[in-house]
Amino acid sequence: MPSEPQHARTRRRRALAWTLLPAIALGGIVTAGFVSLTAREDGRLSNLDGRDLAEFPVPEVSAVVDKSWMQGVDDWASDQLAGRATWLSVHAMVQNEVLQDPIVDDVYLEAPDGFLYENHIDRSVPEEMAGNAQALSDQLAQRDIPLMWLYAPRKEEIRPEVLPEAWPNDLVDEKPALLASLDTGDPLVDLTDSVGDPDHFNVFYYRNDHHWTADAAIVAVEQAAQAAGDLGVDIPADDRDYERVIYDDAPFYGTLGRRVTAPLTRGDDFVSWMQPVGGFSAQQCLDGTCDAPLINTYRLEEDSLYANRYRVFLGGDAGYLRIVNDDAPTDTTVLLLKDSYGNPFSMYLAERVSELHVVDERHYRGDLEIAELAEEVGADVVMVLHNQVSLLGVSRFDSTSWVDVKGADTYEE
Amino acid sequence: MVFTSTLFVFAFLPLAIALFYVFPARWRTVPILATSAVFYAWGEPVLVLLILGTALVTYLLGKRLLRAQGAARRWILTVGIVVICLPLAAFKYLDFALESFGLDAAAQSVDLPLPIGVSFYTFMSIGYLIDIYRRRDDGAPSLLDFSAFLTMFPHLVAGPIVRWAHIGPQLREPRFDPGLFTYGAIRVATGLAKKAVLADSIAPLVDSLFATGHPTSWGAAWVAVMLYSLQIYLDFSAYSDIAIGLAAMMGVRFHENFRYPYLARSAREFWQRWHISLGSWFRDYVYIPLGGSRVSPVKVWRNLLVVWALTGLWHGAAWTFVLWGLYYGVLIGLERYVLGRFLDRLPRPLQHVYGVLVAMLGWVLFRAVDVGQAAAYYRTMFGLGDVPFWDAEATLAVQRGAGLAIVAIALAAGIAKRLMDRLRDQVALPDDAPAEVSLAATRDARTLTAPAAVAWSVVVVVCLLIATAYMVSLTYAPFIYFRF
Repeated sequence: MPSEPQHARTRRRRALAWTLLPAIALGGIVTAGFVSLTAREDGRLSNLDGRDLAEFPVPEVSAVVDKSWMQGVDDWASDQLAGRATWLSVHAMVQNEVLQDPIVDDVYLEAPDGFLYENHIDRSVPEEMAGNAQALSDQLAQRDIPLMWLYAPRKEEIRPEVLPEAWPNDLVDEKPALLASLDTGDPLVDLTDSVGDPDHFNVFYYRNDHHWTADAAIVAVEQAAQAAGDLGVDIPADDRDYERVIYDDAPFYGTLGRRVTAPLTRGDDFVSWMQPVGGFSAQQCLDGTCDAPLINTYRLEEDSLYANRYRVFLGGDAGYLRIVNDDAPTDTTVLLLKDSYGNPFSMYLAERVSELHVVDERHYRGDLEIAELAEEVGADVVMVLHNQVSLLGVSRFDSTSWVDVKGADTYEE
Repeated sequence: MVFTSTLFVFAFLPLAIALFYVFPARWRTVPILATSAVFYAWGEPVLVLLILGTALVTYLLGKRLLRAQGAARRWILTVGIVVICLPLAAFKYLDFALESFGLDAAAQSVDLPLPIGVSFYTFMSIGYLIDIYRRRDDGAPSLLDFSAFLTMFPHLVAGPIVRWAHIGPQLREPRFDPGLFTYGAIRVATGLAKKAVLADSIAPLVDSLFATGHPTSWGAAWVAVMLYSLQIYLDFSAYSDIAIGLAAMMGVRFHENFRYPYLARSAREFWQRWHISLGSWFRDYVYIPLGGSRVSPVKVWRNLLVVWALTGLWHGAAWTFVLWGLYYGVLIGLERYVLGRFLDRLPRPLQHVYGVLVAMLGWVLFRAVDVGQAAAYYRTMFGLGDVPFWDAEATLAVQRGAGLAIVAIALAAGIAKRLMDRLRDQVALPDDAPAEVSLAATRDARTLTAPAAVAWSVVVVVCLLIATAYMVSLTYAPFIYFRF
């Protein structure tokens, strides 16, 4: 049999090499992914996800048998693949800009003025809530401490008309039942009356975050202070001059912006706040020393596109925080139970009172129950500030039990 | 393990393929079995013993059947089928049977998990025994070979239902074949994109529309069924694409399992294009042994109804599935004896409309939780439900699903058919090529031109990158056919 000519052999090899090109392309990507999974260190915090990324789980027989180990490894592989933020951006962009889906990860992108809105479904008032609320009220009444309920609306409640008509909006549907469950005979202040002003919507809510802004917190504090006055609690008006501070070195991608990723946010948000000329007078007490600022600017300097810059207010959520104001126009002490909406609210309230004790029930690890704490700190009033999602979505304190919060150690939202 | 997971694509796949080619060709069934066992155990760490046990029992029965003579052969086959079906009967149908006989209390006390892929590997095992019984095959030469065939991870959890006669010879010495390997890589990449990008994006829209089981408007009902029709096709055919591709990357050719079913012009043709391996299994092992179509019309009707009731039951232990199967049995019978000539005279576009409508109406039964829900759904679809013509649900579904639907319909209508057919002809072998055909003989002829290679590389890269983006973003989304 004659041997194959050299030129034919070369042509044949070249043709086979070209043929393998698509497979090499696949192999290259797969190998790169494999290397990125095996070579990198685990356990980074993801600002984009707002959580720690999954680490490779230690295999145990029981975990293998019940498949939890496999699920853990699956989570690890999904979380730790290099370029996570880029992958999520590509997904969001293909979904919205190529496939023209106006909703990405349950966030509606086509609302006016570039505001992002999320879907709120399956919210219902637990049966125990009214009893728990009444129990807190009764315990405080025994100690002769007045109680105020403050209801903070989310932006989907303020502008339900801009959401897709077919989107169930349980925030609106459940609100009457929720407010009814908080009807303990104590004042119930619906802050919608002040922050729901449609003319100021663009100022009171972030486009890319679910929180209200510091501007909304100011008017909410004013409404709360007036309601407190009706109870005989002195929270004087703050007549000082304020100036606006804007941090515009980097945009703020809040919870909604992070879900759809930066390329899909329709308008930039920047963290800003009103600050008394000369600065805030109240200061946080950390480690027994009361000299920490209310504004934590280092949170703004975090070198990450998706850094949670909302934590500039009070430095973020904390289980318990004491704020003192030596220049306060009154000697009133307030105990505030709050969720994250309460962080900027706390700043402006602290400017008006002598002492503010802030409890975030989701993170509280104190030794005292709320009523005991209120008595301990000499509270003149207890304010409970929550939005609906934190009230109905937090299982940490057993469907909003304010009377049995100490010692609990986990929460889910 | 799910194909559309980063763990599979970026860890399991490279390791499995590398391990496969590290072994000498004759011993490549060893890595197949090992990686397949890990793949299966990932989802069923305990029940992996069940599939391995089924492989052992089937192999031994096959050997026994091969040596037996006379009436003993029929007995061995009968006992073998019963034994092989026991896990399927217990895990999948016991609950349904108890409920159907009114033993609700007993049914509630039965809480067995459905082993992944049990319907597929049970049918492959039965087919293996029947082929030996019919002396069409000598069976596997070793337990290792048979176990590798039965558990081979590409087809393990959702088919296609492959046969030993086709796969066995290819497993003797599977070798690296550049054309087939590339063909496999392309099928894997496109299959991943089909599932992760399209099917999994349609899924939440469909779930939302079917959430209550009662459509909110006439429009929502039809939009939901249309989207579900696309979802189930993309989902299942994507699995087959990936399975065929993975096997090809290991030098093994699976038959096609889908041939653009929504191009069918009749119910009969739909089943010649949809889940072909299941249809041909029932044809060869049930329908033809019952007499097929070469009997009196009454018996043909009987055969059709038996086969299609079983086909429905194979898909799920519920009366809705049985009715779904019978729906096709009746339609195929009607097309054979009544409607056929009428349909033939229709303009071709109308024939296609009929074919698509038949499939869509069938999916209502397939998706419904119970017969009552399906009946209510049909009433709404035909304007008899007490709902408006159109509502916000339908509008939102159209807004969200239009882009997806356009791409999905284009794919379902065969926009890429010519390209894929040409690719297969160029670098792989025709689908009907016998198992014994040597790849080596045509290896040098099965090549891509440089422009085609570059173009297909772009397709692979784009599909894989976008699929990865979706895999990273999506939570666990198992293939619909996993539950069968």
